[in-house]
Amino acid sequence: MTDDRLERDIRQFLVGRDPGPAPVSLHAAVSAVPNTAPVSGIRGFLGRALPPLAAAAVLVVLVTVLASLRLVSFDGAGATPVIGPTPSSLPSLVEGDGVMATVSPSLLHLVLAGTALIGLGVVAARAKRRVLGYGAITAILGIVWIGSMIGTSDAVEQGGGSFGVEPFMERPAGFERGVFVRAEGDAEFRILVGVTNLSRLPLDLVGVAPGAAQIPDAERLPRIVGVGYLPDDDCCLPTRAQPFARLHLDPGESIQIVILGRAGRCASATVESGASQIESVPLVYEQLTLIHTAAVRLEEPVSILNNGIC
Amino acid sequence: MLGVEGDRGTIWSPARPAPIEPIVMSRRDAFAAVMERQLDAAYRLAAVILGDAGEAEDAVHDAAVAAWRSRELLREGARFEAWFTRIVVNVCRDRLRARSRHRVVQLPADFAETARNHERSDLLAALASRDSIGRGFAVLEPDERIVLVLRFWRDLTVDAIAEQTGIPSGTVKSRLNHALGRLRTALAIDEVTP
Repeated sequence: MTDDRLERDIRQFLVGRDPGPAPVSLHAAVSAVPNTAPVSGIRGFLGRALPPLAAAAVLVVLVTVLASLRLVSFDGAGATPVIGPTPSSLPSLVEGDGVMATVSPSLLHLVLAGTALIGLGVVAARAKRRVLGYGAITAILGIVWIGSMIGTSDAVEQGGGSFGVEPFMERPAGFERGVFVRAEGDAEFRILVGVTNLSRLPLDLVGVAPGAAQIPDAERLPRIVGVGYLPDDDCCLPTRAQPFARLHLDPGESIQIVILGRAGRCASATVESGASQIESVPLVYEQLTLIHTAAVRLEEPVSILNNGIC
Repeated sequence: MLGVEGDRGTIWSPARPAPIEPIVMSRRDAFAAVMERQLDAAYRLAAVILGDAGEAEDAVHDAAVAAWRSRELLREGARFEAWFTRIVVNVCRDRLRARSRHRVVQLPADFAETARNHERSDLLAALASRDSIGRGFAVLEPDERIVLVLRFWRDLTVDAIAEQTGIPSGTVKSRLNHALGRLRTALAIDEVTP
């Protein structure tokens, strides 16, 4: 087929699609547009934007409520660290170091996530380009997924260092497992444990969660009352622990921390009744600005004998 | 006086070259008057692009609403025709994209009239060619359809098409070439497989 013939056929084809003048109904509809069209300007924008904004606001409220419930029910999430004693030239680990004081939802994150969800929701609802709409939906799903991960990730586990207690005692006869602490009454003891960042992202250790090993009349039993750390060049002696400071861990990096504990009033240095055990340490860490709590399971439970009559 | 004066936003009547007296787009009667002059051309263009008179009515109405809502963006009144044509083309493009998954192939509107005016052999040849063009046209991308219509139905130059669609002239040329190539391919396939 020649170009001339192709062009002629195209023209004929297009002429065949020409319906002629606009029908009267269209003239009437268009002339009524100024009276019936949505209001322009800021009032028009608000009128158009309010429905999706209202829907997004409802969604944000739901997400906020759910997130709040989840965060409040999870120790340590969004917690605020206690400001411990300032490290000095004579560092000493004291009770209260590194223990998180309060538990509350991270309002900043909720507000940011809510704002982002609103914006993305509006974009997804009004985007004319499919790619933009799909991108907004993907981002919404990403935010929801990240939100669902808050407080559930265990990026920190025991590993990469020593494990021991001070003061130490040999495992009494009759016990098959456990590292035993020699303590009489509510004496202080320390647990040395190495922890490793097992995730693919760096994180910061920010303390231990409040209420660890606490139950009614908790002073009867062993409990965690502080946390410190050992510098890299100071291996293996928990008595040389320094007061806790925010600790940065790159992926795969390890550090030795020292848990400060109290043995409880019932603690005994001899076998009289049984033993109380600490099986894990609730370490709080921050990753991508989100607060998580990892229950770092100890390779053997730390055990303290008790007299059972205190 | 051709235009109507008002308080904000002006437009020149498309019936005469500028400068003429401005029509205030914020006034409803002025807007309706200007739209009235563009309506037939816009409707026919939309119908040729979309291939559906009913959908063309909806498209032009949507374009009129969009023009009313964004009338204050039109700073140079003399450009109203080009501005509104661009809106119509954009609305048609969106509609073509939206229905891209549900193609509808229509019979020629003047099928009966063509049948009366042609000898049977000529009729068959004409219909065969038109059908091939129609099938080829149906598989073109929305942007290719639009440049083809503006070039061969509105007889616009490449530069004028570029102005009315808001794309560079080089892009218009490449889309035209690509569209013609695809039509040739469709016709060649039809000739080989009757």
